[in-house]
Amino acid sequence: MRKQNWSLLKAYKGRIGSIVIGNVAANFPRGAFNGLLYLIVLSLAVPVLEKSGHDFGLLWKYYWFYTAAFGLYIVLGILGQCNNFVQSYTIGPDVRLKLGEKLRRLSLGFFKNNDPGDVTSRMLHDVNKAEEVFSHSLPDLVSALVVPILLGIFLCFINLKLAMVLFAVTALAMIFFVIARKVIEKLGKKHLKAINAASSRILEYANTIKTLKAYNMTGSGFKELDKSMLYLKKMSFRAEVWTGIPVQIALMILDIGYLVMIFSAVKMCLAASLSIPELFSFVILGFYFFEPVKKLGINLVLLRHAANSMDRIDEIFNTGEPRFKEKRVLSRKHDFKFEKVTFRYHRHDILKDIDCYIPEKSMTALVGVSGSGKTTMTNLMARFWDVQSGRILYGGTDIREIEPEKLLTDISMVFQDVFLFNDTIANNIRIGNIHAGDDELVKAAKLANCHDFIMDLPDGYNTLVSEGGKTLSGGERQRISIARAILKDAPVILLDEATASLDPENENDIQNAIDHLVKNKTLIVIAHKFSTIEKAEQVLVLDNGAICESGTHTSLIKSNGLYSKLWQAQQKAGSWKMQG
Amino acid sequence: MNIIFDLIKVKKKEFIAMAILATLGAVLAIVPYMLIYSIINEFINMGMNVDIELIFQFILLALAAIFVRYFFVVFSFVFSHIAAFDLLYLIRTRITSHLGKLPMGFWSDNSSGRVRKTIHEDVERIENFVAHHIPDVIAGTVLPLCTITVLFFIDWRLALAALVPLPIGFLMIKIMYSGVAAGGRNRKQLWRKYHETIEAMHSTIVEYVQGMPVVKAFNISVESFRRLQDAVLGYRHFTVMLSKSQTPFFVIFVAMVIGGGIFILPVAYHLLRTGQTDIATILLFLILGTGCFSEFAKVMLIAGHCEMIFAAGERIGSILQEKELPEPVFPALPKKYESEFKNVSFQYNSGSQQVLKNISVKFPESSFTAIVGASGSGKTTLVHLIARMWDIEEGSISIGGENIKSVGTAGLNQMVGMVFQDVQMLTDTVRANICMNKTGVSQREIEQAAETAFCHDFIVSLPRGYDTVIGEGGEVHLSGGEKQRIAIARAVLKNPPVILLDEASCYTDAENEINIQKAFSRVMKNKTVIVIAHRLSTIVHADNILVMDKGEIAEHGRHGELLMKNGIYKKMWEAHSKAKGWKLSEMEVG
Repeated sequence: MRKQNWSLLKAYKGRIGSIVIGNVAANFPRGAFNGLLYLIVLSLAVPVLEKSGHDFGLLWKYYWFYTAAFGLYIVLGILGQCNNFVQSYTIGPDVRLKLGEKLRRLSLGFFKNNDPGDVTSRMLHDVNKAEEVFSHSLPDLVSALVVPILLGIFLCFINLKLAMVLFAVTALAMIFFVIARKVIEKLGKKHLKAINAASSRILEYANTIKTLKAYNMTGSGFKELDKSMLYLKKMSFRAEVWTGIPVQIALMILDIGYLVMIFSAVKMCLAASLSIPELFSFVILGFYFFEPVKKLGINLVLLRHAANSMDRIDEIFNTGEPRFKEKRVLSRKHDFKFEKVTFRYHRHDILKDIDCYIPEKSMTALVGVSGSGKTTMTNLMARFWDVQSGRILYGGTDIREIEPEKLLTDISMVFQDVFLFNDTIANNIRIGNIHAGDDELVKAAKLANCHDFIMDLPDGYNTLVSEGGKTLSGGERQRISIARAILKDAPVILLDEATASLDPENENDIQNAIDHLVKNKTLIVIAHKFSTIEKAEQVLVLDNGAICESGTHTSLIKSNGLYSKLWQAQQKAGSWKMQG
Repeated sequence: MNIIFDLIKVKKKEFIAMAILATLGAVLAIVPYMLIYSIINEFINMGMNVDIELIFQFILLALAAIFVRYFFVVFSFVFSHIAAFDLLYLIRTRITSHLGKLPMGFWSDNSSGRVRKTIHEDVERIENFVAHHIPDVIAGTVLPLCTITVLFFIDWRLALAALVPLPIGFLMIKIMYSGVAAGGRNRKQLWRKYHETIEAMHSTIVEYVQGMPVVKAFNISVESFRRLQDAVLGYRHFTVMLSKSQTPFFVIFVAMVIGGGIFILPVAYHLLRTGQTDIATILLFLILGTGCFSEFAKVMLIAGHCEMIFAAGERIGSILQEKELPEPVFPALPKKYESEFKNVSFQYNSGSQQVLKNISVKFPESSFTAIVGASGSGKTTLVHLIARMWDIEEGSISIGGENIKSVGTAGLNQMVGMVFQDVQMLTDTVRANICMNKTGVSQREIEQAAETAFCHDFIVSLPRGYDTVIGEGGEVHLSGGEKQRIAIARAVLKNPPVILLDEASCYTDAENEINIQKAFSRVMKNKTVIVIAHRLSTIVHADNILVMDKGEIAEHGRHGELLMKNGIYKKMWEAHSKAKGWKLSEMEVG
């Protein structure tokens, strides 16, 4: 078998162990009352064949033992199963929360490379599967193992040869169960892929419905969705049927095996190497032997399914996190220095040999055409990615030595695409500082010029933002994100100005809000408006991933390079007038 | 749930075939046991003098029964799966096409995570029902019925004893699935709660992953993201409570199934003592009397699962029952493209505040209208209504003299093109993203559209040019400005007579800005254009400017006229000039 290294299992050794022990214990009485049944059959059959009377005293005694074992089975069963559920429903949610925490620690690159639909399905679907393993498959497997093992040992003592027939049949059937597992391993991966592809497409369909509607592409018009669902249909069918068939064959072998065993018993009986009562016992106990073996096989197959899910969960846990030095304390200086920084993404150089210094409590503007690497530079400062060569120093420390979490406490980012959680407005602002009191909250909202429109909402600060903030206008969302940043009050601000100009009707307001935000801060702004750039102490002009010019607005205009060309373009854009 | 049964009817043939095969398979399952019983009987009666030939024949017959039975079982299995997966596909396409016909209001009440769960997981549950539960129920009822009949035929008293576990087991299952054990809640409430708990967990996790950039930037740890923790632990709490409450009943139920001897043996002893039965019969009962119920156990468990499946079905139904935007039977085809609002009032939810109040306005054909106003004044809503993203209750909106409701969605979408701030790319090639639903478009036409929208150059520089996959799961991630321009290329290729634009979409960056502006100008030519404007300087040439304030048109007219009015527009213009214009004009002068 393939070697698996599920950190998942290791972390829950104790809990899994308790599930196994609980179910082994619960199944001992079950083995016992099957054994008692053997004694009962003997005491019933022997007198008949020997034409003597039955010993009813003994029979009743066996019966009471049988009943006692039965009662014990119920009691241990209840305890064991409650334990199964408690353990597995503790493991599942725990894994989910751990995954959540792990995801947060991964670099943003992970989310660029992995479809969000796929990531969520690992957290939901795959963890569900794992949960089912612990609550159902594993207990079933254990109980299906205990009874045949106990009976098998017992039958070995009665008649080794017949017991061997039993084992041989079981082994043969197992081959087919193993084949089913192999099929699952192969098709299951494809099936899972199909499931996730369809799931992502469905999510995409839901998220882009507006655009799809505008182009009459809803329903079957969205061919990719249809394709993914058809493919899912095909793969689901294959995965189920091609594993179902070997399973059915295995079950058939077990049924036939039971007959073969009876037939050999009959022959041995006629050859006088087996007594007739023993023959009867084999008939009864053989039946009780094969029934759990059938279950055992089916569970082995189901476990294979779950193994694929566990692999997918483990993949996330095994993704490397950015490293750092535990003991590194943040310095009080809030300046950045890029030293020969090169950053590659998908084998493209995004930044080449960047050297620059961003002094504390100053304003640095990043200017350049789209795709020139401005956003990447800010992302690198926040350590969303690690550089491939060169280094970035923050307060004199290589940021790769700083714990990303600590670094981010020093940085506020105002993004281009504002994401609001499906929570109250208050809680969305409070993301900046969860300990902020109501006063501080309102103060930040006022500074960000969002207090007024918030008060106009039906429940004020307690109004629920529906998913993604769709009910608020772009400008309103923007200002909420500024309020967040004000509340966070971090010494470094990374600002994408494009967003700031989205709401020009309140431009003064927004500008005001930003002014409040950036006071006495190290401000790095991806600038679009030259009115902003003029205020900057330093302007870095990026072209194709390299800094081609730097200086102040006036010095750059004079040098007559790329910047002055951009400036002229902007002048033209600024005076642009739409013509109907 | 009716919806599911309605859909199942589509696959009638497969289901009938499956049912017949499953029944035959179940009947045959009992044959080997009867033959074993005969063998035992032989031994009891004849002792060592049994007829080996006869026994051999019994065994062969039993083998044949097993072969035939599995043949039936496998075929029934295949049929049921064909039917099931066809059905899932059918239900899914029905839901997705239905979703496409719903007003956008549906999406403000339903998260995409929830919808995904219904389409994906709730529908998946139907597979279990169709492919596994139906055949299991058939096998699980036919087999015990046959067995019990046979057993009664052999000895009714032992058969009665063998039947005792049945009502007990049934009772256990009933208690287990009623909410009684779980704190007296009623069953429906319980299962609804179950699904709500799972749904809450789903939508929170989807949100958490989608909001990852914010989560990272603000160091929102799992402990501080309370809703995730609450949702996940809420799920834990509920499932543990539920399963703990059910376990005792379930265990007794299972015990009943496997420990049937408890009831059979005392009766058997009594009958044996009084000479009313023989031990072959007792052995047969010990096997069959308990064996047959293990199949029946499945049926009872399925009864419980059905609750879950029905709840899933209910949710599928609740989406399918959402009212679609009504579509006309014979869609009107406007020949002219002027648009008119007559006394339009609108609110997103009944009871919430009005977003638009009694709007009456005309957008003449081939004219250029700009809408300005503070954020939240209703600009975007007004424009969305022209595209019929929502239906209005009061007033009417027409294009070319036809009410947009009688034009129908498909026709309207043909006529109206939109470029908004939130451009959405599909995970597909650039080509497909430009063509959208248009088929048979030549490469030349696509390139032309891309050139018009100023995106040809950067597209060509992508790793695989027009065949590069973009979007959420794509190989390349485009910048906001690049996406904007692809969205414009879409509109260029579509070439609709009415164009709705959000001017803000061009503020991406300095270089993009000019390109997008140029692209906008090209798209606007000879069209009925309605622009949501932010930068007043861009719209001074508009044929008409609507100034929105708190859901009403406060002022309207041309730029010059509005300035004369000395109202809101004038104030906005002054603010605008202060914020930006001065600097620029000073520069121009200098």
